[in-house]
Amino acid sequence: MSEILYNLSLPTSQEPQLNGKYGASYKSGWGESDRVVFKVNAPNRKMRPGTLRLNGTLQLLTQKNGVNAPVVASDKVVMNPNAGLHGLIKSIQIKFGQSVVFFLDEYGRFVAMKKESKEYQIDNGTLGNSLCELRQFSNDAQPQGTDFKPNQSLGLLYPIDAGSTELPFSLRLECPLNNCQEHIPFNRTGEIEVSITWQESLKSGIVGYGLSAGQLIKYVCNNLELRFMADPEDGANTGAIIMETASLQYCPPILNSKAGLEFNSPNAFDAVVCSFLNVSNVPSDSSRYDYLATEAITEQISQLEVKVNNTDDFLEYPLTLQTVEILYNYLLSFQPYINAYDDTGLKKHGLSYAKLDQTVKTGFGIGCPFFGGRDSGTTINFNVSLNTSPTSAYNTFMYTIGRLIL
Amino acid sequence: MLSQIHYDPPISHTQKQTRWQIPQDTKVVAQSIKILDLYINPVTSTPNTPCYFPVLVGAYGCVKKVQIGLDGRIVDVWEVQELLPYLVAMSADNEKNFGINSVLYKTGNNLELDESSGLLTFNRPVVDSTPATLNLNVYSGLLNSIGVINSKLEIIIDWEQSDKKWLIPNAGTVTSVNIAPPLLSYETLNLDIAQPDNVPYVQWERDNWIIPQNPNTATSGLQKVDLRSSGFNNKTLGRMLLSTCPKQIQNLAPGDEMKDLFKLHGYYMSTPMFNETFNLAKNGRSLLTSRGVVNDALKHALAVDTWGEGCFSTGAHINSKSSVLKELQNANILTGYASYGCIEVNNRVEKDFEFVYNRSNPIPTGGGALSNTHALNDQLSISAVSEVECILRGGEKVYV
Repeated sequence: MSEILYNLSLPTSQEPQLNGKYGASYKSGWGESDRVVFKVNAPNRKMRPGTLRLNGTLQLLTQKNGVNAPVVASDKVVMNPNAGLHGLIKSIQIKFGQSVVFFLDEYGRFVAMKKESKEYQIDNGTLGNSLCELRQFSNDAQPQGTDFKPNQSLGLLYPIDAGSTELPFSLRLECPLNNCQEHIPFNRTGEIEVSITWQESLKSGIVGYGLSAGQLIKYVCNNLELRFMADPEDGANTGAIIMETASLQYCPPILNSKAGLEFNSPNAFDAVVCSFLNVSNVPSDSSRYDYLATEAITEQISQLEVKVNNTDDFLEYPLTLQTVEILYNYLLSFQPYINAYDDTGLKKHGLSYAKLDQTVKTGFGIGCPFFGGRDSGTTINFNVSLNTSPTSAYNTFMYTIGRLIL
Repeated sequence: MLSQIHYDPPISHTQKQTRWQIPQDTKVVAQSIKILDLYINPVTSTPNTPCYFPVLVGAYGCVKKVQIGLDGRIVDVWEVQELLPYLVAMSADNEKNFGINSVLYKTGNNLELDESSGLLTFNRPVVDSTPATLNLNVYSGLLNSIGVINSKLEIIIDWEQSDKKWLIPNAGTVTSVNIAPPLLSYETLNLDIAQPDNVPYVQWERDNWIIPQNPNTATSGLQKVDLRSSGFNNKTLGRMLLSTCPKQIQNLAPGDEMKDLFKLHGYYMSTPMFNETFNLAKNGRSLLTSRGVVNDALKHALAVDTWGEGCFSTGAHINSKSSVLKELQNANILTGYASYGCIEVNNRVEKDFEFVYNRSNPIPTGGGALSNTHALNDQLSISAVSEVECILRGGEKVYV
């Protein structure tokens, strides 16, 4: 029986002083491109999986021509509905002792993709996993247009004077320490270092549809802490401990009607998922486009082939049916081994009704689960045929999902 | 035949209490015990007015107390309605068509999932009575733990007398409620399986306090209260739910205010302990880190960590902008009994559990505001409901 279950880790460095950057009315704190490092340890204890959270408070402001002002309700700020405040994080690195065991770049996009693939059915995204995230604080309905992408009316309502308020948040980090079935003993990992790099404001999924052209939304995070629950070490976790891990592989943009996406993963992996972003939609201010939105390029895909090491067709037949085969494989790729062959949740997700329609509308990617896993160095080719050539290039974000074994 | 399903009428039934008895050596599969054919007939001031079960707890809300007796001794008691939204949410899939969405007798309209839009709607035409089914293991840790029961088993259900807690008329008021004698359904085994001698199980227990009206009426006026609980002495605690409810809301009279009651409760629940913070301590040492739970996001996070991901999927909606919730809000079928805070205690309490409670007056713009008559500085009742570890040893309940 434990005395204290709840543990806390504070940043190893002081909050950056931002007064010079945003003016005296804003607190010091972490903003875009800053990095914060936590050292997590609890001797003779083991971390309970799923309990590692990043807690903190957030201030938002708008910036135009060097003039800063608090965000107000009329700015109509919304966030990517799937990423929530995870969108503020550009990358996460985790070290066990001196060894880097996990590094995920474009973290917010991956969270958005994964959350959308989960079982939402009728509740439109307020499952517990995303419950604690700030999603919007405008009292207005969110826009339904194609430009903004977040076309759901979601989320927890926060005070409308949020611009001058520090908004509390608590994010369950999408990382191997949380995606694990068993406790993680500190006597096997040593001290765990968690480093977080903050995303550029324009790429954080925060959009203000009441803003004028050229106006930017900036953010500052304060009072950061990592909180986790740790049970006493009882020597029970002596075997292999399997954690889900992910990494990003950059690929060249798609521009032609036939495109080959090829990469060599440095890590072993079980699945590959890929989403797209039209380069013309990379935002230049905060008034228009959600950088984390997934383009619905797949609506145009007429055929998808998957090859392993340039020789074997992994799929017996190319996939040709967008909302059945291609979407099904994409969604299945997010649970390649924990729930391998069990697609119950997947069917609930939306291959049935409302969610499917929503997913197709907001866009989905392509993916393929490789049940049984593939070794590092394996070459994977996604050969994509589009009905028509895109008029502008699509950036491709290809993630591998695999297992980290302790 | 390896197993057999039984449907037993009660040995006694009133509108306050119903009892069933199952003789010794029956080999009852504990988890299979359920109340079947629960017909509830509300009489409303406007004839044939549809009545709704609150969406978070469904028909489970009509039960006030569950007692389970083995060989003449009561070994498991459940009477903590604050927990219902959590308990029902945890067994959500199975309850979907029974406990939560049960149609009340002669009411017709009920929640229905519209598959094209994915929204919950109320468009079902009037239908005849549909009985509710209540799985008793939702209430009872013992039934989830014991496996097979060979002892003489007694089930006693006390029915909730205040219909305002579990029944919502679409118009007018509920003047009376008639509960027809339901059946007790259970499965028995024709195998040589013995009831275990020692059964560890969890029972829910509660301690209560009253917080006086906040004397500090100034904006941001803080009220700090240090409480001690002796109710959990010499017991081992697991998860705990702390809930607060203004006395004014608790004491609301049925009537038109009913709709406000549910709306407020729903809203209140969705803003967990708004303007309230707490910490718990044992022997002077805080169980929560740092300053305790100091904001709503952390309260949500703790609740999710304590009760699982799905525990608030519905509760959170109450305060969301989802169109689904709008539907529910318009129909006044939201419910919740109180605001809440959750913590996993995981400690044995030898002497007096310490609970620090703070609240402040102001209600920030845009969220959390109750109406003027139910201000947040009212007198409050606080209850701490906790898992308490027990062992059934030789037919007797023993605290671990």
